[in-house]
Amino acid sequence: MDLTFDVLTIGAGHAGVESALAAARMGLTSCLVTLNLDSMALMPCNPAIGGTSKGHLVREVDALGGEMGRAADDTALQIRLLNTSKGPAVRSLRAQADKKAYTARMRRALEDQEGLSLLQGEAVKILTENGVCVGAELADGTRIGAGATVIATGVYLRARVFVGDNFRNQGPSGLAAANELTQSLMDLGIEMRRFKTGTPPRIDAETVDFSRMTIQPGDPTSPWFSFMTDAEPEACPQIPCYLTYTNEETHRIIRENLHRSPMYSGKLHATGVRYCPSIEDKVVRFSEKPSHQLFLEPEGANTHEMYLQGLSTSLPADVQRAMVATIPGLEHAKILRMGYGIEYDCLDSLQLDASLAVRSVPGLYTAGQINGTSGYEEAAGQGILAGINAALHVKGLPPFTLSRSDAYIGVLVDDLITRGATEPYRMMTSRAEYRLLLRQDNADLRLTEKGHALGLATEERYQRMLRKRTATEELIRSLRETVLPPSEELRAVLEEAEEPMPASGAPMAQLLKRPRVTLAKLMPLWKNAPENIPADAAEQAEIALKYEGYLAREEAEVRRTRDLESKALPSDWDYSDMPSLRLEAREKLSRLRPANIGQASRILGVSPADVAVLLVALKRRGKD
Amino acid sequence: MDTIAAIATPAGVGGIGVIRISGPDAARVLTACTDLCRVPEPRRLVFCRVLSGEERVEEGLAVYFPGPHSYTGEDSAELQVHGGPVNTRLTLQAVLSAGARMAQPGEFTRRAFENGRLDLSQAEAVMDLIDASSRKSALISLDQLDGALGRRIRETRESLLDLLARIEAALDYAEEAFLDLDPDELKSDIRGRIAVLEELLASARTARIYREGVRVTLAGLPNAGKSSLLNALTGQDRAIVTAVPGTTRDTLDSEVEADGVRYLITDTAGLRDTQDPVEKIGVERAKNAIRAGQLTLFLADASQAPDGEAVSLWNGLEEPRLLLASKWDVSVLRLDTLRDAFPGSDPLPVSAKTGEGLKELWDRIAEVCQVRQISGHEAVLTRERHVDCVRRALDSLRQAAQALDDGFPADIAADELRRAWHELGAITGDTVDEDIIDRIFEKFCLGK
Repeated sequence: MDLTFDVLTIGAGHAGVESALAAARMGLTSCLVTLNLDSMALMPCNPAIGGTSKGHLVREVDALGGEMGRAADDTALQIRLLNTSKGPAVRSLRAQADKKAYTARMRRALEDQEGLSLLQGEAVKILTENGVCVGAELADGTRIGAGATVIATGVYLRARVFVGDNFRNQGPSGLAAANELTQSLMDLGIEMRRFKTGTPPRIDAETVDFSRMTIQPGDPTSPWFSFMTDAEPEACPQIPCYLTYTNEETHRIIRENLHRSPMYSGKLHATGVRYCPSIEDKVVRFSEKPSHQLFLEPEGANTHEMYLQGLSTSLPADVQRAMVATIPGLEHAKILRMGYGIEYDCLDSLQLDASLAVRSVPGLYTAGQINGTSGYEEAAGQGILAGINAALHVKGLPPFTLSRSDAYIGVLVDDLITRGATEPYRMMTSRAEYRLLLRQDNADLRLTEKGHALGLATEERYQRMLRKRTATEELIRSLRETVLPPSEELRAVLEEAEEPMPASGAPMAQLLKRPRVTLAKLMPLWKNAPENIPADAAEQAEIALKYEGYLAREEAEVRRTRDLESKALPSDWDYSDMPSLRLEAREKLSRLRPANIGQASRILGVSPADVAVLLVALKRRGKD
Repeated sequence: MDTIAAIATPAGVGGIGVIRISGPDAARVLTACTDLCRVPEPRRLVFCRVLSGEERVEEGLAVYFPGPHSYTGEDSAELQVHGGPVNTRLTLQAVLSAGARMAQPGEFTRRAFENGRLDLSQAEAVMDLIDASSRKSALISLDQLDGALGRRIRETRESLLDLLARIEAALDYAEEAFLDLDPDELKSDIRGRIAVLEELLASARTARIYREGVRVTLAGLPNAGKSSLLNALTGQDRAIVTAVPGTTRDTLDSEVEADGVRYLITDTAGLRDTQDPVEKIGVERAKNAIRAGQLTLFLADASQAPDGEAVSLWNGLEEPRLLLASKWDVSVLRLDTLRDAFPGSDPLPVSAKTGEGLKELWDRIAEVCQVRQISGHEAVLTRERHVDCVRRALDSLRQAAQALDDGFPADIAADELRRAWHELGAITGDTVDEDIIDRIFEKFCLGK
């Protein structure tokens, strides 16, 4: 070996950087190999971080001690909380990030991290000894030895970029593809597949008529992503986005040129994203809709380049120009970069376990788009988990896993390993069955203790979380004990909320149960209120009281399913020898080897009747 | 794996008794407890003598089913002997002494299930059939999951899923303006689903009547003609009918099937203040029977003037109750006299002797007990477990509607809808709950 580290991470995208940082922060030597040092933590698609459920992931990465949240805060051009009119479970932060600044900010974090080494190069081969991963070899012949290796190659494996019938064997933004690693993975017996995604054209802001669009300002009162960011809300420049729409004319151009789209002409066979479709897909699949929303978003503070969200396409350049010119405000717009489709190799995530380890190759972990996901935030969530587990593997400690009731990261990983991804996987709040418990506002309360125990979250972060927890508990106690007597002021508050007035007053906790009664409105009526109630504790207390019944229901369900999760399936069971299982279930269980009944029950192709068979068999085994 | 055995035919006297044997030793047990010198050809009935040691205890037919083509999927055998509790029990004893073990309740079906011979819903159907107490009930159980009930549940689930998808899309795509939700529209959609489930729940009542029968209690003063009426209703001479007041000192149950419904008619001791300790116990039991029944038929003797004690007993009865003018063939009263004497009554004249009024009585019983005829195509909830699931799903839907009414946001409602969707899935087997399996096997009958 030319170089030796504890943990090697291949790829420096949003998964790779979190992986490399986590391993180093856990006290190990960590090496991060990237195709290009100038394009680490690149955002080749949306200039945005967060969004519904993705904002949850960012906060979870942050709560564990990751970097994404702080980097997003430091480089945010605009930030706001989505879904504020809906419940606390689905509120999510979304920030427009300055792409260049984000890359630079993340590079600085990597460079400053003790124990972390950066290295530019292309990994071409996974090195193994007796079936165990021992490192990787680079194209220049450098052999890097590592106790554990994390592959986070994003969309770069055998990447091909399409603009109409023009295709090039390259990655996003003209970067080189990695063409050799796939073969090495296949040689290890890892099953690969091909996915595709796409991106819209970029527009020169100087040529846009913003007066014909609707301005989308940020929210000057928005919180930050990171539980550690103390900056005033005003520190964010809140540069606006703009809303416009496609129209019948745009759709006519798209329809008439569909045969020139590689997705439709049959040149691109890979599986695409339903959740974030190209404009061609939208026009074909929702032909009854006369228009689609488009957002024009800034790519950075020091550029006029803007991202046209909603117009992802791989149509030829002349068609892209024609359709952009039909859009209000973009009649004279110049396109700076064409939209493109991209296809790439990824692996079948059913080959992984809950620690993101490749089950068949000890010491090898994968994270991010190579696992079939889409999105920066999904990548970061896996990256930090894979990095943690690579580090634990080197330390000889048991793996760290998150369950579906711990975190969105847990939901994401569980979906990947039990159901797999047949198309690029995007996080959604509706995937989380315990979403009222997995809120973005309590990510620290859920995860920082775990991150701290791993040596990843700093002591300062941990103490902050403890202070929030204590303050919340104290506040809840006071709110339960404090009775507001009947008064004109109380009557006014309740009238505004269309709630009846309790004759003899009521504890504040009880008043807060009413949906339209807020703590902010009750505070002026609270005599001898504690001074300086921290805003985060107030938010926690209010949610805990207002949704008390609903939270309790969900907690009861968690306890019930935990039962199934605790029923471990023997690792030596021969499922092919269980005639009562249906054939498909036998095959799936043999291949996926779920760790427990809970996991087994979520595997596609394992029916409830099969689960029943497993339960009966487990019981019988217990008796024998 | 043990070889198990049990009596597979109902307890009591019957034409034949069947002893079922299943397990790896089935063939050996069969030859050991009979005079057969080798295992009979598969699926062929052969004559044999059942032996206990050297002693011949019974003779009958033996049949052998090698696995996996048997009910349990294991090697199995059956002995068919003369019916009757003594014969079958002696035969079972012989089988057990030959090396089989007594089966646990539900063990045959459990083995069939474990060996892939039955899936979960079939296993449940078997249980329904075992539990079915009348022919009609058996017909309802058959095919419910594949039939009307399954269809109704799946339709409701589908529509819940549509509704959920609409809400979830609006939540997950916060920036798509066209997905905005109208709470009033959501509420009315949810109410529609509530109505469907309420109707289904109402069907459970009917199914329960068919499955468990209806308990009807006869009450009245001593010698009001209760026992005679019981005999007339059941067509049996089971109750002793005499002219001595207080003859019936205990309660007496009789079964009769009418229009596919099984009626359990309980004759009670005459309700009167008595010093006789035995009769006292009878009166106490009568009161318990009245409490347990779904309908009380109160007999007022029409051959004499209304009795004050009878009126006060009538007044003490809870609804539903029906006043019968008994012994109408020798009546000395007008119906109006009885109606006036017994407040809140609508007396029905009956005569156990002539049979007058009996048909009307049956109709009134069916009406009061809400016995509704069920067509084979109707969605009916038959199992207690299914009723539980629908009840919980309904509860979740009501919570969802309530949350929206209270002004809580749509995501709260969505979680409740998801819960409802999950509960309904447990009926059709589209979601799994460990309790289902436990519950199913707890309830299996012996030997089936």
